[in-house]
Amino acid sequence: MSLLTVRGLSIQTRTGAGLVRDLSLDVREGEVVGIVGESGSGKTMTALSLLGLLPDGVHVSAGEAELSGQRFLDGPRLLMRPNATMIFQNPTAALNPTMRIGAQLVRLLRFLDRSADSNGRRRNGDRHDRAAALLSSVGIDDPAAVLGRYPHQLSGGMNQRVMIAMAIAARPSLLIADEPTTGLDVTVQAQILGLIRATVAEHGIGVLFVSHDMGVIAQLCQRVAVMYDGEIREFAGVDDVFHRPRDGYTRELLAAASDQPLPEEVADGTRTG
Amino acid sequence: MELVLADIEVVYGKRRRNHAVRGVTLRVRRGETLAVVGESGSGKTTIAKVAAGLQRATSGTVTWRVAGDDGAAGPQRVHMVFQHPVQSLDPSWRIRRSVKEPLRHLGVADDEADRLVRRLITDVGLDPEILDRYPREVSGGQAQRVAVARALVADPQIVVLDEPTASLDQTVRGRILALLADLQQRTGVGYLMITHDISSVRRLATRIAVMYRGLIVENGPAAAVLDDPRHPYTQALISAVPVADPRVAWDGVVALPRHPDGTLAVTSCPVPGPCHEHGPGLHEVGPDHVAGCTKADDPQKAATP
Repeated sequence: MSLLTVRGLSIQTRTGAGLVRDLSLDVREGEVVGIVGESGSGKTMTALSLLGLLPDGVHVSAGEAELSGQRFLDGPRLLMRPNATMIFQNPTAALNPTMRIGAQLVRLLRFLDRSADSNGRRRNGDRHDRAAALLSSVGIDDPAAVLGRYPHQLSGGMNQRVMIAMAIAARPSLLIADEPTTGLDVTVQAQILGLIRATVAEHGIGVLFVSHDMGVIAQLCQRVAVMYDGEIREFAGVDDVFHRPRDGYTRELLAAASDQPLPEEVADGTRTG
Repeated sequence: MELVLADIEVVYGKRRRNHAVRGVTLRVRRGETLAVVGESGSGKTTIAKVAAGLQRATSGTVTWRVAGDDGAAGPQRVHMVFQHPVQSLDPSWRIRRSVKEPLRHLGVADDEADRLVRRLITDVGLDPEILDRYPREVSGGQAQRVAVARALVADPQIVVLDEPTASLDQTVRGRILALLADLQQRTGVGYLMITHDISSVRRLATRIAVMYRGLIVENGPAAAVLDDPRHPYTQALISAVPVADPRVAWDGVVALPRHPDGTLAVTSCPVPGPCHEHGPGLHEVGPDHVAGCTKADDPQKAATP
């Protein structure tokens, strides 16, 4: 059954320029759906619009979205806050540079406790333990030390683990990831992708994963939407997209992603193998 | 003609000494591409700056060597192409002035310089009409072509490419790599390409040097390093790249055992024979292919007790 359903989503600037046109897609429970495309294709705008995070001067002009059967987006209006969280491209910038990791996590947990309005007031000491447990759950070996650090004292990979811990603390049913491994070293990227896979397996959440990297998409996603110039050119299972692409732009992306020489290069004699 | 970097050491900072590069020896020949691959903090960008003369090495030498058979020495010039193409062009200059700048420094006559600039702009696949525009009016891919034209306009021996495609879209990336290969074919220029993405080097590199924490851990012909990597770090780097095919099972996390300070603690050494016999440093593991012993003492630790 569908977890997230987006129908006819259009995003415009104030001047009426269309950034995304008539986009429809869905994410099932426990599924990772990729959005792949180049800069300016509208993939990040699509992700931001679902959480009401579009920048000033950009708005949803049409379309609707449902999460777990509840409509939360109706054209320009965000009807309710969906049970979804997001992780971003630059984790170090997404964290508060003036607060220790522990303080940021405790603050988040206090906010979540209040909005859940559950078993009364909890003490901060307890939240500190829960923060440490969260960090262990994302594979941080020494949570006590990390809780006492500032974001600038940690590596990008470590900060992205902290972001993922914060994202799953809210027990979302959908995680939106906008290029979460771009800018990380490949060995760290492999670890973060492994963590996202494990998170999906453990919590059964759906993931909408925005990326420009065909390798990451191939290995992480079950289905993928190929975007170009604000439109979905192809939306299908990864095996179909990678082995039976129906769209010319998809084929171009695949050719660029393979490290083999392009046919015209070989024909030119400039590079052969 | 080749550019030789010998025993380069670079130490940043006075009080807290940070040994960014710890004794690196590399050669870049004309007509060849040497790719220096490493992750953040490996010292690869420092090597690029030293090779381009933008930074002085703490010790070691950068020299030119003329090989016997390639005739005239020619001008011993190095130019550079940077990672962020738009930022590497002066925003207040028209493209023409940026591309012409190296020639102005060399005192080339103005009409001759104009002719060269037009030829190079056409060579990199741009319409000469772009010369009258400002950097903000061109795309990232176009700006990188402009930067390539500027690097080649004064006919250098070696061009240093510092992550030349990292900030470009994937389809644009392929075209820039094809352009660089084509220009190399025509002019015989040598490239020193710095990159963090080992999967992107197959199209251009003739040799690959892998850097880790300021040291070269493996250096050899591109095909040998990519298809038969010997050093465990090179192996980890290659297997960490996600395979762009959903039918190929991939789990990129190679558990590299590490000491508490982050250095590798691998037990398998790529160098044949027992470690205590061959000692630290790089050793022959194949034709023209060297890899570092993984068990030998870390030179930095040996130097600072």
